[in-house]
Amino acid sequence: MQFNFSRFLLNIEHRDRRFRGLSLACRLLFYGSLASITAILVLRWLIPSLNRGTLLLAFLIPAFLASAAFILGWWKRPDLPRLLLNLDDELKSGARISSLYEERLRGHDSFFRKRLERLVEPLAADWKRGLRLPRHTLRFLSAGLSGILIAGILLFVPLPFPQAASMVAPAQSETSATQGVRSTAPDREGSAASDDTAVALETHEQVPDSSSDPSDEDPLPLSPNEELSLESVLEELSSLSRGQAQVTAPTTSDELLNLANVQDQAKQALSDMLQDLQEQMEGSPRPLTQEESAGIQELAAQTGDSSLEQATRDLTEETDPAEMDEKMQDLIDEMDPSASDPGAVPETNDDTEDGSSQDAPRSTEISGDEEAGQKFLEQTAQRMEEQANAESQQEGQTQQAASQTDQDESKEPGEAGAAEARMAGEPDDLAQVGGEDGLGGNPSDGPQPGDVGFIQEEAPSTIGEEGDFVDEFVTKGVPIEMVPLQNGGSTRFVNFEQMDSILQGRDLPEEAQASIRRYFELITQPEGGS
Amino acid sequence: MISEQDFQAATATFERLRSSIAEVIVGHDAVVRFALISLLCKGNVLFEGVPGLGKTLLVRTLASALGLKFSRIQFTPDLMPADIVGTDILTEEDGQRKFSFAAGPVFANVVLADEINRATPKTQSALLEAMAERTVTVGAKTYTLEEPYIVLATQNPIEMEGTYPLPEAQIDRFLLKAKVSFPSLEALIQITERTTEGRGIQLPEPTATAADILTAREIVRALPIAASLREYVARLVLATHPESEYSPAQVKEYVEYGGSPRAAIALVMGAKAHAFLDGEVNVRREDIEAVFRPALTHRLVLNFRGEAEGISTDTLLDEVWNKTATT
Repeated sequence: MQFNFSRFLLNIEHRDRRFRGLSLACRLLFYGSLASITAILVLRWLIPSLNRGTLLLAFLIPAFLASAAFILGWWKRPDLPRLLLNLDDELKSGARISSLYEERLRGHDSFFRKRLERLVEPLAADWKRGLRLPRHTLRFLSAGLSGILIAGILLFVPLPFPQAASMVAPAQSETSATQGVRSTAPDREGSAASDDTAVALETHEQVPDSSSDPSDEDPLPLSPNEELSLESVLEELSSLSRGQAQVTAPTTSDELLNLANVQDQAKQALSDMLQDLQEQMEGSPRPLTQEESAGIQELAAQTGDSSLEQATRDLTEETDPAEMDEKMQDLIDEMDPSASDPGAVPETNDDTEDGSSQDAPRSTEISGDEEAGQKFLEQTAQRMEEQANAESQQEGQTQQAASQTDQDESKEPGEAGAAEARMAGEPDDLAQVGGEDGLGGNPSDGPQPGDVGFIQEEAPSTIGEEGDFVDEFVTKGVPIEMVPLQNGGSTRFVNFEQMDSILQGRDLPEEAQASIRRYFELITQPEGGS
Repeated sequence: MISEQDFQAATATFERLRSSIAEVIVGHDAVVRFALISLLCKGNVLFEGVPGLGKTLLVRTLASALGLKFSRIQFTPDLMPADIVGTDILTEEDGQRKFSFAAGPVFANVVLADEINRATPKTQSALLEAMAERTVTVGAKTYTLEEPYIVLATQNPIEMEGTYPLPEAQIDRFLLKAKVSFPSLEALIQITERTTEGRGIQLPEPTATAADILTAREIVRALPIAASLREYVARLVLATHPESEYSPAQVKEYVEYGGSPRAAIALVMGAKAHAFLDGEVNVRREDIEAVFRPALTHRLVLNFRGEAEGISTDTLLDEVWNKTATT
């Protein structure tokens, strides 16, 4: 078979174009995979609700780039003389191939050409070893494939920053609405009960507290004229529900049990600490050190028992050793009566003086006994119900005095009923209306020993002439109107007619419209509480 | 049309020539090769070395092996141009007196210009025309020199007192500049043995004719070189120019002038002749490398800084080669 130099050249050219395309493709595959990883991370960070199709596009960046690069590399014709010289160098053929190419190009039919053809012919059998895929191409290929793998993993695995992302996204688009909704933090700071609850929650569950964000502490006033899309309002509402439910209060029986357990452990630890101190001071009376005082007060704070906190505060301020010893003993007895009487059996009935002191031993028993746990829950719900009734009565009296009308009396049963329902076993409802903020409690009541994780706050405003109005539940886009009052002030209320027209104007499912309407009715109608 | 037989015969002739010279000249194979390359390329060669290294003997041996007319000019400060090219003298013939041309030593096939840098520039320049155009002009008449023609000059690099460095125009006309180094121990032993015993040095019998050399020159010119190697040669030469984009930093710093287009011609032709002497039918990269330094070392003109710092042109050429080879 005669040596065909033209075909030989064609093969060389095709191989070079193929390799150049591959080299470029692998290089861009690598860089594209980096871009893909970055894009996926950034998109998932900034827009957590982004659909998978967009993320898939980001995932396919390297494939697009590599394909385009291969086509580009293949499309560009090589500089054949230089390519042949490189091939000669690789094959150590003494520039014979390129010299023969030159002779043929010039059309010389000389002795040199024939001689060169004879010399080049053996090279044609093994020329491919002189034109190999560059090593860095394989490196880029492996790195690129690894990058794609990582990008694929990032596409599906849950990332550790969804909470942060959910804060970043609204901050960019719907800042005022978000801040208006999340303005419970300052109010909660003023409440000792909420502090206790927050401490307990942080100790026990380590739940990220989004409400502690400094940006939330200064809510922007909501302008009645401001409007946002209904979709964003819905999104805000749902995130609000989730956030409140997670942070502010335990809403399930498990959480109640956990909280009680934490408080019980704090009491036990405080009791042990006081006993140790008492033993230490028997021989050598001395005042408490700063560390000891701080430790005692910290444990007392964790118990969630305000009377216990007050008693420990008195103890730490006491300087007389005898008085101190006596107070210590009182505290120990109060927390654990059996400590002074080792032979006594732990009580299981509500026969102690203070409800709060009953919680600790009971919680301990509950944790190991399902039946006792159910009993504990029932008792807690009962206490809360009583408390809610008392609150609503007190609130009714206050409003009655203010407005000189009898309408508040008709509201009490409904409000109390709602509180009862939420405390006794409707945590989801509680979450939907914004957790404990929906209770509209009296701030003068303060935290009660039985208030396991519930925060009572003063409603920041009122709506209409009767209903409580809570700014936190009204986001941008909600039609609000200002109405002057007879006494010279003004109040706000939600214009339901306008809301209906807004809802009907949007392309929302019927259920969503109904949910939104129900939500605002719930938080604004007098019977539902604020 | 060059046939394979022509090629084989020419390469065989030069192999014989090289062998016969090697029987006389010991330890200077590279220098002999450069002389043959210059002969094949219709060029001239400048040998640089201290006295006593056999430069003159090499040239005499080459001329003897070629069977060509040889002449030797010892350059001295008082040597005049007419002493080289010849002059018109008044002669009497048949009772009539007339001027006739008395040809100088430049009229030969192989001319040895010994210690060329000892003559004044004016006298040195008398060789310019002969070296470049192979003609000599005396008065109003121009004489053509007989081919093959080659000037082989020598110069002493250490004894600079009373010497006149060759002008750039003249030095550029030397195809190659070969450095004649001191012989090795074995070569020195052989030299003493050959010169002190027996009949002493015997110049070789002619092994080639002028026609053989002219045929070989045709073959060398026809030897193919790849276009990419031509481009490579051009880049090499451009890289010796400080203002060129191809030149390395050292060249930009120390070189005043780089190689001329004659340098590129010398590189290509020298590479072809080198390949021919190796029996190759095309120019290789190593052929270019072999003649790169001899073809360019005398063509680089250092600037004041380069001279002051004693920069060697060989160092600069190494830099040029290394940098250009990788691009």
